[in-house]
Amino acid sequence: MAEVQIRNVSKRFGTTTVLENASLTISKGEFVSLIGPSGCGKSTLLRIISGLEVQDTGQIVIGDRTVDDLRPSARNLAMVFQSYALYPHLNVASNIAMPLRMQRLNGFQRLPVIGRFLPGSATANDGIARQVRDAAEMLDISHLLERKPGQLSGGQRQRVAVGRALVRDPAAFLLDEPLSNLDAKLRVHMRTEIAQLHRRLKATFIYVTHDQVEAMTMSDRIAVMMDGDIIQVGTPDEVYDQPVDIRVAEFIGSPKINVVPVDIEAARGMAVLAGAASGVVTDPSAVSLGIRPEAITVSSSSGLAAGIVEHAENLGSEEYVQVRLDALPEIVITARAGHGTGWTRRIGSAAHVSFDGNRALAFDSAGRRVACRAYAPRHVGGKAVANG
Amino acid sequence: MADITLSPDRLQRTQTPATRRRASLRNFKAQGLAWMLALPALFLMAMLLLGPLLAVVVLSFTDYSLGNASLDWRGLDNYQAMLGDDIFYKSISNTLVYVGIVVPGSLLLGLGAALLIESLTRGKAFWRAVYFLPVMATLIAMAIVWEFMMSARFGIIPQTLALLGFPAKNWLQETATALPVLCIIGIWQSLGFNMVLFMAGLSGIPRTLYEALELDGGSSAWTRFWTITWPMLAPVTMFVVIITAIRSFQVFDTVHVLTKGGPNNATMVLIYQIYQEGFDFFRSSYAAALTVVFLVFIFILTVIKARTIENKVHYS
Amino acid sequence: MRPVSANSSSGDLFKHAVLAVGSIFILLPFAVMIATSFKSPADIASGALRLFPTEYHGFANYAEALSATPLLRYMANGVIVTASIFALQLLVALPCAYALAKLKWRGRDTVFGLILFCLLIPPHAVAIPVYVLFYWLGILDSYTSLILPWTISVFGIFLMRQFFKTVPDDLIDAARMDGISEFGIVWRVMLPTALPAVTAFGIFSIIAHWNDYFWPLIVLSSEDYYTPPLGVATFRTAEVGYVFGPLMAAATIIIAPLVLTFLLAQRRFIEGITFTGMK
Ligand SMILES: Nc1ncnc2c1ncn2[C@@H]1O[C@H](COP(=O)(O)OP(=O)(O)OP(=O)(O)O)[C@@H](O)[C@H]1O
Ligand SMILES: [Mg+2]
Repeated sequence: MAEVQIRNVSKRFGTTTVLENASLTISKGEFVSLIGPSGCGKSTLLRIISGLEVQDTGQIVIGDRTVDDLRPSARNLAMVFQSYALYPHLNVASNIAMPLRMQRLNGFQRLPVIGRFLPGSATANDGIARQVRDAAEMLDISHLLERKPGQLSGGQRQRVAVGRALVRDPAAFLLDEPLSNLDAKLRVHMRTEIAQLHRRLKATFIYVTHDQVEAMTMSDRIAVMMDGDIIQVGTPDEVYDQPVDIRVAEFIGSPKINVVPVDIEAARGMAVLAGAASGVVTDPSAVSLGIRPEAITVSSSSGLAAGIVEHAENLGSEEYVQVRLDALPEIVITARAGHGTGWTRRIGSAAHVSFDGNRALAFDSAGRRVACRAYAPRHVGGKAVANG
Repeated sequence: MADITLSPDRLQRTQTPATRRRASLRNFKAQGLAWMLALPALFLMAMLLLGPLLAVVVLSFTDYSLGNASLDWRGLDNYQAMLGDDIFYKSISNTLVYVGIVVPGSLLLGLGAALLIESLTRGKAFWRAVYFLPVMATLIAMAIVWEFMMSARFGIIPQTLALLGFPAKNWLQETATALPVLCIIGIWQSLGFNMVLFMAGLSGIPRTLYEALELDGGSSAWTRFWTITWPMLAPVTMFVVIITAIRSFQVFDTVHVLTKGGPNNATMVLIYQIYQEGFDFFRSSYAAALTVVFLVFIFILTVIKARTIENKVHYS
Repeated sequence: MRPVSANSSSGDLFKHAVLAVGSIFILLPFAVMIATSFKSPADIASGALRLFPTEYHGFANYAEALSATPLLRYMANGVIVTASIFALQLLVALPCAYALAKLKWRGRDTVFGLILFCLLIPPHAVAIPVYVLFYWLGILDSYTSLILPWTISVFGIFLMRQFFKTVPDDLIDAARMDGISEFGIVWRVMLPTALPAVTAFGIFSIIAHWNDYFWPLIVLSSEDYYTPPLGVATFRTAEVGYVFGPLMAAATIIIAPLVLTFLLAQRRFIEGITFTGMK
C-alpha cells in the first residue's frame, strides 16, 4: 500500500481534451472516490494511473517512485472493472491466481501440463493455491472456486474480480464503477462489503463512480470531477456542506439542491428572493442561492414565499414536497418535510416556503461559491451593516 | 462565515519535456509491437498473394514460359492470341453455361431442402446431415464414383436409363451431354452448402412476423412464403447466388478427373484451360493472360458480394 | 409450428417422403461406392443392378486398395499437410487479427484494407507465379510446397478480426494488469475466448485442404508427398482396366475420416460452415 500522486496530468484524444492539468494526492490507506458526470474523464484518469493509457503530460507517482515508464503490471496496482473482465475460459480459482502465476512462474512453468513438473513450480503453485484459498475465504466464495465465470451471478463475479485484485497485495486498488452492473439491493450490500474490506486491508483505494451515494457512504475523501478537471477534493461532509462550485452543489445531494436566482439589495447586501428579503446577506457578486431541501421548511400558513404544492412524494421516513413559487413560476422548490406530514393529500393547495439562512450557499455568475451568511443586524455606529 | 475549500493541490503547471518524451516512447513501443504482430502475415501476404497477383498481370504481357531464364515484353500479344483462340471462346462459354446451370440448380434445390427440413417437427438433424454429406466428401473420390456410375457397361445410371429405353451410353463421353453431367455433379456437391446457408437465413426470420401475418389473416403456406419468407431471405439468396457463382467459376476437379476438357472441348472450362496452358504446355504467359480474364470475372462477382453483405447488415 | 396438429403430422409425412426421394439423388453415389467396394470383379462386370454382392469380396478389395498404392501413406501426408496448414494459419493470423481488432497503430486501416483486397484473390489466380517462385526456390515437390502457399489465410485474419472485435476491451486491460504480454494475450486470452470462431475456421480449413486437388496436382511429381485426392486419382490411372472394387474401396477409405467426423460432430460442423460461409 502506498501513496498515489497525480501531478498535472493532461490527456487529449485527438482534438478533445479529456483531462486538463489534473492533480490529486491520495494518501496511504485512504479511500478516495472520483465522482463526476458521465464522460468527465474519470475512467481515463484511472487508466492513466494504472498505465493502461499514457498521459500526454504530467506524472504519476506511487510511493516515492515515478511510474510513468512502467508497464501496467509493473506498477503493482490492482484494478476492478465495471464489467468484471473475468477470463471466461478459466475457473474462479485460475482467474484469481492469474496475476500471481504471471508474477511468480516463468514462461516454461506456465506451460500447460509440462509446466507443473518443472523445478520450482510445485512450491510456487502451492503458495499460489494457498493465497487463492485465503482470498476466496475472505470473500466468501470458497465454494465457487471450480466454477467458470459464466456460471456465476453478478454479485459472485464481482467478488471474484475483487479476489483477483486482492491476491496480489497491490500498492493501491483501482475500482472503476465496480457496482454499476448490480441490481439496487446487491449494490447496497456490496457497498458495505467493499467499505469493510478497505477497513480490514487498510489499503489505498481509488474508486470511480457516478453514484454520489456510493461516494458519500464509502469514502474518506471525494474528488469531484467536471469536464476533465478536479474541481473539489474533500471529505463527504465538506463536499456536501461547502461545495466550491455550483456544479458540485448540484451534483452532490439527492434530491438536488434548490437553486434560486436572487437580486442583491445594495444597501445591506441582502439577497432578494422573489421580491422578498431573504434574510441572507451575501457578497455583491452573488446571483443565486443554493438551499438544500432539508434546509427548507414548508408550511400551509406562512413563510418567505408563497406557492402551490405541485407534487409530493412520501418515502415513509420523510416526505418531499415540490412547491411552485407564485412570484417565480419557473422555479420549483423541493423541501423535505417530516414523517407523516401528509403533504401528498394537499397537492394543488397553497403553501409557503422559508429556509434556514445559515445553510444557504451563494454563487456568482461563474458558478463559484461566494460568501454569505444569515442576516443578523449588528449595530456599528448606529447603522446596521452586513459583515460579508 | 463559512470557509471555502479551495481547488485541489495544484503543483507547478509546467510540462516537462521529459514526460512528453517518455509518453511518446511508450507509444512508439506500442506501435512497433502492433507491427510486429502483423508482420508475419504482411510478409506472407506480399510474397504469396499481392506479389503473385502483380506478377500475373506482368507475365501476361510477356513471352515467359516456365524454365526460361529470361523473358521479353510482348505487349498485348497474348491477349491478341486469345481473341483468335477458339478454345478460349469455348472455355468461356462452357464456364458460363456451367455457372448458369449450377447456380440456379443448387440454389433452388438447396432452398427447397432448407424450407422442407426447417418446417419439420422431427428428423431435422437427420435430413440436414444427409443433404450435407456431399459437401464433406472429397470431391475427387466422389467424381470417380460418378464416373463409375456413368460407365456404359456397368454403370447404374446408363443401366437404369436403358431400362427406360435410352441407349446405354457413357454420357460423360458424349459431346452433347458431358457438360450437363458435370453440372449435375456440381449441383449434387454444392446443394447442401447452400441449404445450410438458407437455414441460417430462415432461423434469422423472427417468428413474430408469421404470427402477425396469421392475425392479419394470411395463413396458407403459400402466402407465408411469398409475403415473409422470400422477401426476408432476399439478402441471403443474393449472397448464395454470388458465392455459388464464384465457386462454379473455379470448377476444375471434376473436369480434370472425368473429361480432361473433352470430348471435343465440350467441357473445356477456364481454369482447366489455364491449367493446361500453364502446367501441361508451360506457356506461362498465355496462362497468365487467361488468369487475368478469370480475375476480372471474379472481381466483378466479389464486388457485388461485398455490396450484398453491406445490404444484409442494413437489413438486420 | 402450425397449430393444427393432425394437419401437420400428415403434412410432415409428405415432406419426409419428398426428402426421401431427393435423398436418393444425394446418397446414390455413396451407396454405389460402398456396395461396389464389397463386390467381386465378376459381380461388377455383370453390370446387374444389385445393391448387395452375390459373393462377399470386401476384404480382398480393401486389402488390394491398401497394398496396390501406399494409400495409408497418402492419408498420413494428408494429415501432416492439413494439420500443418491449420496450425501455421493460426500462428500467422491470430496475432495479426488481434493487432487489427484491438490495438491502435498507424497503418492499421491500410493493412486492413489490404486484407480486404486480398480476400478478392482466388487461389487459382496466383497459382502460376507461386509455382514459378517455388520452381526458382527449388522447393517444388515437397511438403513445403504443399503447405507454404496456404499459411497466409486472409480469410482467417478477417474472420478472427471480426470475432476479436466482440471481445470486451476490459478483458484485455485486465490481462495487461495481470502482467500478460501482448503476445501472451493473443494465445492466453484471445484464442480461448474465440474458441468457437477458431473451431469454425478450423473446420473450414481442414475440409478445404484435405479435399484440395488443384494445388497438389500442380506442385507434386513424386508419389511420396501425395495427398489423398491425388492418391485416389492415381489409383484410378494406375489400375489398368479400372479394377472397380478396390478403386471404390480406396475412395471409401479416403472420404471416411472427414465424413465420419462430420457424422459424429454434425452440429459443430454445420455451425462452423455456416459461420464461415456467411462472411
Ligand atoms: N480511446 C478513446 N478515444 C477517444 N475518446 C475517448 C477514448 N476514451 C475516452 N474518450 C473520451 O474521453 C471522455 C472521457 O471518457 P471517460 O471514459 O474517462 O469518461 P467517464 O468519466 O469514465 O464516464 P462514464 O461515467 O460514462 O464512465 C469521453 O468524452 C470519451 O468519449
Ligand atoms: Mg467510465
